[in-house]
Amino acid sequence: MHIPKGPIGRPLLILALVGSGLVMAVAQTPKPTAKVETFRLDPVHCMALFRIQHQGAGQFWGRFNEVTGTVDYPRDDSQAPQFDVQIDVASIDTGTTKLDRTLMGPDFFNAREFETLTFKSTGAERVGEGRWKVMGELVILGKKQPVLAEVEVTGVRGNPVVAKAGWEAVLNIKRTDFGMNWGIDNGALGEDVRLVIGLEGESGPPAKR
Amino acid sequence: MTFGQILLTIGLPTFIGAILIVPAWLVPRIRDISGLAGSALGVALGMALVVAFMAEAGVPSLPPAQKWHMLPIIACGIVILCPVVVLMDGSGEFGRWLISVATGAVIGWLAVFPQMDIFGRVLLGIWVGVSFMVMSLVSHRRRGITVTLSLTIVFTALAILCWQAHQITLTLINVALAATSGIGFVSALVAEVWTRDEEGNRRSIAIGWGGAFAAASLVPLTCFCGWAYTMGDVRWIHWALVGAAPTMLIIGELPWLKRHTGLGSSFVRVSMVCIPVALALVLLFTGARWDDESQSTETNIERIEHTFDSDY
Repeated sequence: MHIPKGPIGRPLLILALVGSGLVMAVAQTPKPTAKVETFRLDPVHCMALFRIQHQGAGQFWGRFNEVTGTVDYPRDDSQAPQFDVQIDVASIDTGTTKLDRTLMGPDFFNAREFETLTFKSTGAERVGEGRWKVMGELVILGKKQPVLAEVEVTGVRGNPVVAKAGWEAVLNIKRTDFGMNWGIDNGALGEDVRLVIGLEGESGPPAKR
Repeated sequence: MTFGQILLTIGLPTFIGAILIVPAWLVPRIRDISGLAGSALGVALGMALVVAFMAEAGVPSLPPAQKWHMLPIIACGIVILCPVVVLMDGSGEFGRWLISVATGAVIGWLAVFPQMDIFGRVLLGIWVGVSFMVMSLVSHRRRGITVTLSLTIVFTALAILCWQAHQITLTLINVALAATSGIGFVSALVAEVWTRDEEGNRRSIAIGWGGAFAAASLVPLTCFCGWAYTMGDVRWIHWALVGAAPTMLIIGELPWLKRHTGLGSSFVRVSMVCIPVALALVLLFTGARWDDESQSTETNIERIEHTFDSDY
């Protein structure tokens, strides 16, 4: 290597060494992680869909329109989202009022006694960028059962003060685990239920409505 | 609903009821065993509820996981206590009052359905007590056909209300109770028409205090339970009219009416039970309302309107 001699050469060498040292130091410093923010779920843009087999044939879909709660999550996905979600049973919507009322009745969700379904995270495991396997507790008909949710972070957008983030959770459960037994023996309805919960939350100061 | 399921939920309790009622009321040697005829209908009704519930919703847990799961547990108690009540049959007014107060108090204490505060529970207890006073009074004075046909009509009407209130299991339970009462009616009618007692008179079957105890407990219980879980357009007035219908049998015991004892008078008495039942069904299906408070849940259109009002 040729080092220029004279009054300019030596300072240049020192500067180059210091500069490269700084670059290496910056490269080795742990990347700063975003702080965990609490996202309040926006009931207008959240919903929970359920799918169940009808009479051993088609897959029937229904939804709950009122989903509320919070998600604790850092914008950079450095930690798993922590869900605390409540679903209002009375907001059930199958597109048929008569069926809605039957599902709210004592044979199914028993809305008179149990007003909400709840899901709360207890742990998580990363399975990819923006993808998590979230362990949690699901409460239906007042009965708590451990469940596994496959969660996808569908997007994060915002400025340093407020942000919006979205998640989609898919849970496969057996309704008999929660004591909802009607229609299984007579083949009217399946035992396996798929829940797809679409969530959107907002962090920062509460928006004025 | 499959044929097999109907057979299990309605056919099995009815079959058990037939096994209990037909020999106890029609087979001479069995009929004469003390206390058997008086407890047959009561035990059959209690078992009908338990079997129909278990066929639909499985074995209930203790304590019950849901409040309405108390129904089969109370029905088990009725089945067990029925023979005890029959032993007290004939103990006079003191016995009647004792059973009436005790049954009302225990059922009012145990049956806690949604929407039922302390006043609701007291009302249920009083209702059960008054029902037993009326049913026990007519249980011996009137033919079995009068009471069993009245119960068949009342449980059928309750099944219709439960169906309109979107309750599948409660509907089937009431159908099973109606079918069991129907078996009782047919057995009592057969005894009346084809059998004679030692003096050559038509044999009149009495449901006894056992039958009165079960009927007086189960009609208000299923009625309150149906009201508590209503999800349709069925209102308290419909439940009240049908639930109170069996107590209309007391009209037949008024001084100027009670001397009529012929077969025709039995059907007149049954028609008194039919009046509130018919009124309830007419009010329900014509949509007429006697109350201002709506129990019905929002329709989808109302829900959409509310959503637009509140969220946009």
